[in-house]
Amino acid sequence: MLQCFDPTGREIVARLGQWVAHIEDRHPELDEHFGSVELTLTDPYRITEDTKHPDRLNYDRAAALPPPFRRLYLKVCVGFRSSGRTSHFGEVITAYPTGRIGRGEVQRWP
Amino acid sequence: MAVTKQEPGIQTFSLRWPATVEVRRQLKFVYDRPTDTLFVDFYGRSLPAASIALAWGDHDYAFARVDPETHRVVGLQVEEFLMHAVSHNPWLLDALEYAELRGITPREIGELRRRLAPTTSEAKGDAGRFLDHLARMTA
Repeated sequence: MLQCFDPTGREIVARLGQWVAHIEDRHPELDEHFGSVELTLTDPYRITEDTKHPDRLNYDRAAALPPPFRRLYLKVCVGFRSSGRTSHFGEVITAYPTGRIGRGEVQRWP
Repeated sequence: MAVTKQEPGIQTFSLRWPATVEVRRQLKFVYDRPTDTLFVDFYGRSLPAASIALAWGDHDYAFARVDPETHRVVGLQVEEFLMHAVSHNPWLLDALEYAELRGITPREIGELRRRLAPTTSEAKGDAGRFLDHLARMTA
């Protein structure tokens, strides 16, 4: 459904099943805003490591969504599994607008 | 470097929690095992909202779902539910009594509850008990 690369070259996909079953159902504010998720992954403001899942990275970008969510961050959580010695492959787990970059998350990029 | 940064221009919120009596009959609970997230919908269904972090614990895992125009809280989103949240907030386990389960069976939930809170009764309670706890946490 979506395939892109983050600024560090990691490949990320969003699968239709996860999008429909979880994101559209539980986060209807993202309905039809697939491009905002892609923008956040390809041109994030910051990438942080999840506090409890070392195999997950969180991508945040302000103003990725239209009003009334424009003055918020769009947070996209991506789970990674190693697909070789140097490359990584990630799948979008969830995404939602939020008011701040996660407390306690460790910055990984830039 | 751990970051907690509020950028200029990012919206801030004065959360408007609904009265217990207003939402009691419309509560909907959904537990999604693949993302280990509990969702509580106060108005019977998932509504478009922002996820605003609550000051529970040392990192952000609990969020109020907030209408960005009215600041009305329309639900709750608790991540790391079984992994972290219930061990710090055992009252959250009550939600599994009422939750629509995704990716996990009622039997598995029963086993988890016995393991996580062996002294807690599994008898069906009143969702109002959950709201009472939530009201104390957000007062």
